[in-house]
Amino acid sequence: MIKLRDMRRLREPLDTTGNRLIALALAACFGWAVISGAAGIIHSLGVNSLCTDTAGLLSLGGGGYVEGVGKEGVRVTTEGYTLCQEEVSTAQSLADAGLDLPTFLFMTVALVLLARLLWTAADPGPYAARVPGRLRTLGWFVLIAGPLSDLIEKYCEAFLRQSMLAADEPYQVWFQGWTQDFPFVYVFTGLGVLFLSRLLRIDVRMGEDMERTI
Amino acid sequence: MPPEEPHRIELRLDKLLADRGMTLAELARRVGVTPVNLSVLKNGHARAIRFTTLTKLCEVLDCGPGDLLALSGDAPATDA
Repeated sequence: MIKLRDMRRLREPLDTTGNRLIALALAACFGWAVISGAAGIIHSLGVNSLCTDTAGLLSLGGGGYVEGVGKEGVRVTTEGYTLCQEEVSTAQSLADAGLDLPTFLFMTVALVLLARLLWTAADPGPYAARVPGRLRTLGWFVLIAGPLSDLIEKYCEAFLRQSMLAADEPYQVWFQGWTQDFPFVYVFTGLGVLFLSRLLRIDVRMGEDMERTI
Repeated sequence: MPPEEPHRIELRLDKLLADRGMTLAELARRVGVTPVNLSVLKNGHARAIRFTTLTKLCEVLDCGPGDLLALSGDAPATDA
């Protein structure tokens, strides 16, 4: 005869230690994301000077500073790969924060969605009707928000460059940069999670059918 | 699995199928469930029915949930 405790264990394969380890790992990830993200953003908004990479657009040769490439007050340093400015405008500060903010928000929301999924999988159980839906939400989020956050970062990068360069940079340059370095990892991960949620949905339905729910 | 409590809900599929001249297999195909599952439902062996299944049954048989489900011993629901 199956005892009540054994039945509960069958329904909830993640035991107490497992739950605690997951909670600890999630709390550590969440804490790290919040602290590092917030520190980066606060730093970006508080600085008076900033430097940005030219993403290989300039290759002037030689060292030191180069005149005429950047706008007034902008220094082009280290062989033309970095642009630096002392007096930073609000738009530039926001763009600088935009280099970290999208990834920070993406990671925070993804962690919240993951935590929500894991709590549901722990109780009432991995085959609960709500689990495939939560997995699907996470999949769609990773699939869309991942590349989008990367696109915003690339745009902010381009905006910073443009705000410092004397010559106009065609928009195709940063957009092509984004497509060339497209973050396929988010797409494949998102699609994988969506596929998994579909399989789990079928599994849950089969489980319900076995319990004679028509 | 915990023991099942008895219930008095019955599905009036037989009458509705006869009225519409439809077979169980055809209904199962049009509703999108297996004939075995529909048979389980018809014979009162099902534990529960999904709202989606109930909706499709009502759509295909052109009836309301009250025409389909009844408390055993009750008279069948009639249109006002």
